[in-house]
Amino acid sequence: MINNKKVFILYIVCFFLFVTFFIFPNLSNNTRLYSFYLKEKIQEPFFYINLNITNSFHIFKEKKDLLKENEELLKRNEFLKNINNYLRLLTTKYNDQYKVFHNTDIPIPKSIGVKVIGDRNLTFNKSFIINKGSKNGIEVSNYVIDGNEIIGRVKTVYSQSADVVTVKSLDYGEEVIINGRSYIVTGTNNDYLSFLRKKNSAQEYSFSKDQIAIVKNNSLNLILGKINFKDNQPIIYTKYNFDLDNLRVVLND
Amino acid sequence: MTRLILIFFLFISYGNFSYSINNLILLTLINIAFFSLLRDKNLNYKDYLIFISCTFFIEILINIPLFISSVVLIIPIILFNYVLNNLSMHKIFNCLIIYILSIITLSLLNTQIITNFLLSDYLLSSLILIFTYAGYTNYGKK
Repeated sequence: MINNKKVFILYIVCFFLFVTFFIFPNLSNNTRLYSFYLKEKIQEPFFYINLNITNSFHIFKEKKDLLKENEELLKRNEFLKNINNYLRLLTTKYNDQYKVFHNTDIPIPKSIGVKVIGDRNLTFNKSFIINKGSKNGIEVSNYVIDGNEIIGRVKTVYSQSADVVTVKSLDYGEEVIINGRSYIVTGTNNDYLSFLRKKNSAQEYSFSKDQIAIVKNNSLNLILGKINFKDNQPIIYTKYNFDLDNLRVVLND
Repeated sequence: MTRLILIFFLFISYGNFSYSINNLILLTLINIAFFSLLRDKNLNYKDYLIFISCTFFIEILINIPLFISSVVLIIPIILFNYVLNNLSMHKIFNCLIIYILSIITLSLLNTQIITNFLLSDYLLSSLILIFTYAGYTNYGKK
């Protein structure tokens, strides 16, 4: 079973050590304390490495969270800008009251409410006539809006009325801004506008669905529609049915 | 050498993890101690040294009299070694016996394990069984 001298010697050494530690508990305690002291000293570099790794991981995670938060704030900012635009447009209603108190015009583009006369169904030529004209300050190319969405532009002005071409009409053309870059779009007599492309142009569009196409008019951003795709070609979708009850015309300064 | 390095790392890592991991560390140390004594019929002095160091660290960590295992506990284990290695069983059974003996020893040292036992916490201990088998196949009885 045990035919080894070394094992036997080791056993004897252990035996004496055991007896010594058993008789002198103080010695045993000191050994224990010294072992724990050594253990702690050996652990230190491991703790240092662990701390560094944990810190790096924490910083990495924090950075990721901050980037996410930043993205959300940017979206929120965009949303608030849109609301601000809308509210500014609504404020133009109170130009007359502002004039009474301040003797000047409101410091944002003015707008006047208009009513549609004539063909409301936009059956034939995707245009309609409004009940106000040059006497009210309307000029050719003024935007006709509902909220902050563009419905169309004034095409012809008479003294008491004006002809408005809607964004759906083939006669409508516009420079829009998507992701900070400008593009030329045109109506198609359908519910969407298509992008104009130069002949033999190799221009690639890098849009994503539901991106908003805006039109800059002085200090206002007006919404034309949302990006969509038809036969892999980008288009700008407008509303299927326009609400023609609360239209306003944005006047030039 | 592998066992010595493992014992050293287990010793310094004890106390820095959760309750169940600490118990697993103890279980590994006990397993190494049993494996060193029971792996071969003829007891080698190197194996005995590993057993001494292993039990010494366990005694320090869980506060039991120093060298008691190397002097007292070794006698029944050597007797058991004689029985185990003369039965010529398959290695897997030897591993299982060592594993069960280690668990019984750990439960005797810390009876709270039985009351607070959670299988999911101790599922990792099956790794010990695999490593014991690998040890047996590479360094087991000749």
